[in-house]
Amino acid sequence: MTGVLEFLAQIVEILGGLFHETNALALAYMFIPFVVFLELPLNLMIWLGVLRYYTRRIYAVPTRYPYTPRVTCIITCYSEGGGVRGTVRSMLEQVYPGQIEIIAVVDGADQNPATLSALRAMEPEVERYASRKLVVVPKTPRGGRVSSLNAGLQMARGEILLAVDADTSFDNTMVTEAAGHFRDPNVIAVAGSLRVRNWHDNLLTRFQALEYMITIHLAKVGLGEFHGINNISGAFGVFRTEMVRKIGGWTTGSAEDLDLTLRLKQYFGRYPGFRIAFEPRAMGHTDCPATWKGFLLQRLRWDGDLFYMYMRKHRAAFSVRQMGFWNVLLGLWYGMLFQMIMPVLIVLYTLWLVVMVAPVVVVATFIIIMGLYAVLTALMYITALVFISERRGRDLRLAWLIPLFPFFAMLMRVWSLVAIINEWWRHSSQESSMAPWWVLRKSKR
Amino acid sequence: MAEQPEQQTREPLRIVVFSRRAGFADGLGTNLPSQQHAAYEELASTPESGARTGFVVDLESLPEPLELIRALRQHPEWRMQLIWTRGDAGPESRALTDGAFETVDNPGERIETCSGRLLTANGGQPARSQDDVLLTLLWSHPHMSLQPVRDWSAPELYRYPLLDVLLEEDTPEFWLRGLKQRRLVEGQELVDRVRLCPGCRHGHLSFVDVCPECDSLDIRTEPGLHCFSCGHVAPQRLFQDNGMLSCPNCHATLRHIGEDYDRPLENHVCGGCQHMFMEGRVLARCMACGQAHDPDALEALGVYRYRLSEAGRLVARTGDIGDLYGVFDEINYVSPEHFEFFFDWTLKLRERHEEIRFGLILLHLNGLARVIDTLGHGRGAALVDSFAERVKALVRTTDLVTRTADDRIWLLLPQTSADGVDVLAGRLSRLMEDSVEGTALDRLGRVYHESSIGMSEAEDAAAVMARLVSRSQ
Repeated sequence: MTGVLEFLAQIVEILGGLFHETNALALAYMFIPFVVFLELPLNLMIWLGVLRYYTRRIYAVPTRYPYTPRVTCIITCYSEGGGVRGTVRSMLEQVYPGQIEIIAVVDGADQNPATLSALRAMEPEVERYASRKLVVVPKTPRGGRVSSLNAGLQMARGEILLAVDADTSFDNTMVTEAAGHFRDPNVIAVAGSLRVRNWHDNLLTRFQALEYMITIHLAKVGLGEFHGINNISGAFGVFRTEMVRKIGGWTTGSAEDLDLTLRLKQYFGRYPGFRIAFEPRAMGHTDCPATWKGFLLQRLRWDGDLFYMYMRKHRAAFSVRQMGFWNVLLGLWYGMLFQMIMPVLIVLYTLWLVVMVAPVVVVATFIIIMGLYAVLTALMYITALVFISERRGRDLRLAWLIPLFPFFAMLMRVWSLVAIINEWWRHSSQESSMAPWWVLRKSKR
Repeated sequence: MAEQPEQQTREPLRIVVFSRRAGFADGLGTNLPSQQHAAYEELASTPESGARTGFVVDLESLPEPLELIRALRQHPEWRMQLIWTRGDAGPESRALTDGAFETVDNPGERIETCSGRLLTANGGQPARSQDDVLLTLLWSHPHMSLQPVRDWSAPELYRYPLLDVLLEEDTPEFWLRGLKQRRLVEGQELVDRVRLCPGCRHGHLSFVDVCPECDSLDIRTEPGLHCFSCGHVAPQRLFQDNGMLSCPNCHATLRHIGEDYDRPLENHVCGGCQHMFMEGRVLARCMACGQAHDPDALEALGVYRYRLSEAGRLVARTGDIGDLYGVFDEINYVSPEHFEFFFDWTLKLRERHEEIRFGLILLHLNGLARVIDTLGHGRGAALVDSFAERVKALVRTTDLVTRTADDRIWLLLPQTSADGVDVLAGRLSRLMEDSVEGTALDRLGRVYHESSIGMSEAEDAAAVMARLVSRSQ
């Protein structure tokens, strides 16, 4: 007992002597370059981007263009059952004045009769909406999400293509906001924002809600201003149909969304005007994993796939001729350095710290670093709340998580390393549950 | 009946074939003598009678086979004969004929049975009314029935071709209703149920949704929204605000269905009076007379295939026996109105003079038709005559007699005690049994009686008579 108290007293003493020359501070200084050179520039860029977005928006003349192309929405369904009704209904409810064609592709229709019958039962409801159409495509053999998307692409008649998951629903202004960007012929795709629908479930879903708010809602607004969208989420992406057809649709393998984004970006070298826009007001609501096991498995897949895409499948794409200078720079910095090298550095540094330095100093250093990160998080959070958020009341209820969030982020970093190692050694992207094994084994390794 | 063998020798069985195909009659494979005609007019020009003839109509080679069948069924000489068809028959042809010739095993036997029945039908008398013709036809052709045929131009949406061709007076609808009311035909199979305009009995109705307030046709559906923030419910157009949905009451932005708002129910708005309602009123508008009715007020009509009932078969065999009852009209007859007037007067007289006694007797001769059927028309008529004579002997000169509904004979007995009424009723009842003694039947009819003691002061003549009639049913 006294040992613990003494331990705590020592930590306080070190933290109290923060502004003197102490050992711990020297260590913290060693760590700070990571923050300064890797994270701070990124955050600064995000802030600048948000500011630019915000000023552009408040000075914009409210104009409604008579541009309402037909939109095709491919909903990839599997075992969602009655849950798909919410997705279809939120598409029917769009205030968009143009036509919306909803293609619901049920993968493995024989194994998922509940999903199929739920969709069929919606047909009379669709009748009540003008210029909305529902096509149910039962795909009997299971072929994975990619095959569903490509089947939908074959049938799509819209100028604009929406690829969404069956567990995601949308705000009724989503199509209006997203489709407007395609007025600019250089926009080949629009990434939409995502919120966590089940944020109320438990602490884990609340953490993810905060994470989505900062890393998707806010960060993508900032990066989008600098043409730096690195991924169009598979749960909710908007494309120019002609462009998707030109690049041959989606390809087999895990992480088909990142794959498609990278293949779209490979046209940027030849068509420097092309860009991928981000629209924070096009809002989707998705279910995130509510259990730690589900969450960790999801992240294992996501981070592993990132490594697989950047290091294996599309390694050659990162050239100035293919993507253009700016995209290669952002890809290397944000994609590789930030998401792949940082986790390694942080974990190695922490291990080194634990081995080399007294436990008291380790804890004190940790508190300082976490404190720094908490301040950074709070600044990001406030920026998002003030400049971006359209549901401020709901977002305010996540504020108390900010001091805890750096620990969650730290855990994510460590887990990223696990995912990268897993992918490196075991080719885990071949084990994805997104498609059956007999399809995955044919994909490029 | 005794004439039958004589006729058979006089006229041989034959088959008349209508076809434009050469040698068609020979190809039928029947050993009966046959003759072939190419048109109806050829048959009409031959003077031969057709009592023992069967017709075969080749539906495929004739230009207007249906017209020919109708003409045969309308011709007084040939309308009762068997008509078979060859080829694909439509519903109207089927309703007018005896079926496909291929299905008949022995046409000769069929013609014989039919003509035998025709001879005995109607008590051996010639048919006098359209009822007689129809009942005889149905009785002598066991495979025929009153078959309805769907027809969009018919007022009741269905019509009976057989009634149409045999019709002499009235309309087919009234004729059929009369046949049903007299229970001469009975429904065999329910084909359809149609709803008719109660104003004009037409089946051509148009069902429309109208405003429940002002009956205006001009109604449209209008989606309604329900704001979760303040609970406001209003038509969707009031929520539309520059490409977004926002509540006109609390100005909340409605972003996501199920989270910010929902659609309570589909509702309708009247273009005439702006009334908002959930369910419109349905009106059935008659396309013939233009009246609009509530669907519940429409007349439902079951469309049946009819066949002869037991009573109908009896009438077909005996013919109309109404005139036989006429013999009773010679016994102190007064008209039913007078009879009722005297009876009423007597009842009123009793109110002043309580010592007055009288009685009322009803003879219900419901067994007469059966008697005629068993004994034949001649013997039956004689039996009724002798019965009437004996009744005449029992009736006093002061008694009044009248007859309602053919077979109900009424006797008003003034100045007769209750015992006297009983005695007379007993004698008449015995007479009913005695007159049919020696035949297979047990009695000619039944006797119902009531003395003045059994009649209350509140009753008038009509009430007492109705009471006796209800006992006789």
